[in-house]
Amino acid sequence: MSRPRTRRENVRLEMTDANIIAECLSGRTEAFAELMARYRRIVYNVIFNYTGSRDDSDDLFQEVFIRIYRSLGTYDAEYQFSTWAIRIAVNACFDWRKKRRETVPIESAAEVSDARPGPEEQYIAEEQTERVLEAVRGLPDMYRVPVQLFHQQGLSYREIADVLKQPESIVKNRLYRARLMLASKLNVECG
Amino acid sequence: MMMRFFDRSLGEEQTASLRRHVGECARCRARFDRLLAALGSLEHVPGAEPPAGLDESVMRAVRALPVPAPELAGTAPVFAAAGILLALAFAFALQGNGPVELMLAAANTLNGVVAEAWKTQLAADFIGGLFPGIADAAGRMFWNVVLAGGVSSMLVGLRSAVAVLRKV
Repeated sequence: MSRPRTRRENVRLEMTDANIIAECLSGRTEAFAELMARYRRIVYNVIFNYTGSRDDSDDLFQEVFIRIYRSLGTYDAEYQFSTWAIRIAVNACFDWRKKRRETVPIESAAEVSDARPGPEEQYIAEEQTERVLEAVRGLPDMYRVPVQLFHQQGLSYREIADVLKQPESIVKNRLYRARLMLASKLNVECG
Repeated sequence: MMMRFFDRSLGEEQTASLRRHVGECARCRARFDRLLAALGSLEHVPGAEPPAGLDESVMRAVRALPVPAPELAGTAPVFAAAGILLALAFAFALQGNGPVELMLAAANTLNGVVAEAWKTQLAADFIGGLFPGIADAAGRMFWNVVLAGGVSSMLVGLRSAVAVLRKV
């Protein structure tokens, strides 16, 4: 059960991201909580889709928002804040994977999701989803991230291009190739 | 066309045409349905909800950090423009009194400012690359050096201009 919002919180809700960032930069650290509340879900999902692990996602989530706070002074208002935050999250995921490669084989990192055996149809659907998710996780980063951002987070080509600092044409091409690779992994022929 | 459908970039007419074809061609229908099932299931994976306690631990960490400083790099074009205006002002104000020397003095001033900025950016990138944890702090520190370097370069330029004036 959530408590009613205070007047101060309501004022914050009406503030733009740029206003909140200006508040943070002027020393009102608490304003950062509102920024985090706005983007916590998308940032967490980008991380979780990448790592496939709750524990790692929780750690990375904290690391990413601390990175975001420390870098607030470098935020360029030319980009949407969400795009900038996702870029930081994706970079943190790459760093995580790099570190993990040195210690644990990546195949063992994929956790099975919260699927619980239920009615048969639901079970089959979950199996199918898990198969697809595994296939996506098995793609190289350069193909995997565009697929996750486009199909799971609903970002546009332009936004993905901003996140990855690549031209839209490259993003389109990678997504096209990624789908072909997925199709082949899932034994789907496509033309 | 099938891939453009999954890009969400097909118009109504093209989508209808694709669907018509898929309806008539068993081979394409099989491909389309299976790809739709795969990408569709990806799009319908329920989002994960971050645990509530995470926000508070982030805020605890954030409260212990210094307030982030606005990036000076964003203001570099302003400094560059100010430098150019200053240099041109020297040149115009003293026109007719050795313009070549004055332009050289102005060019030296600008060159000094640009060189300081470039060296600083290189140093900040280098330090940031070695110690990512202090990249932001290194960047801020070195940009402060730019300011000092830029001002000193302007003073050198001013001195050159005055020397030329005295000769004249």
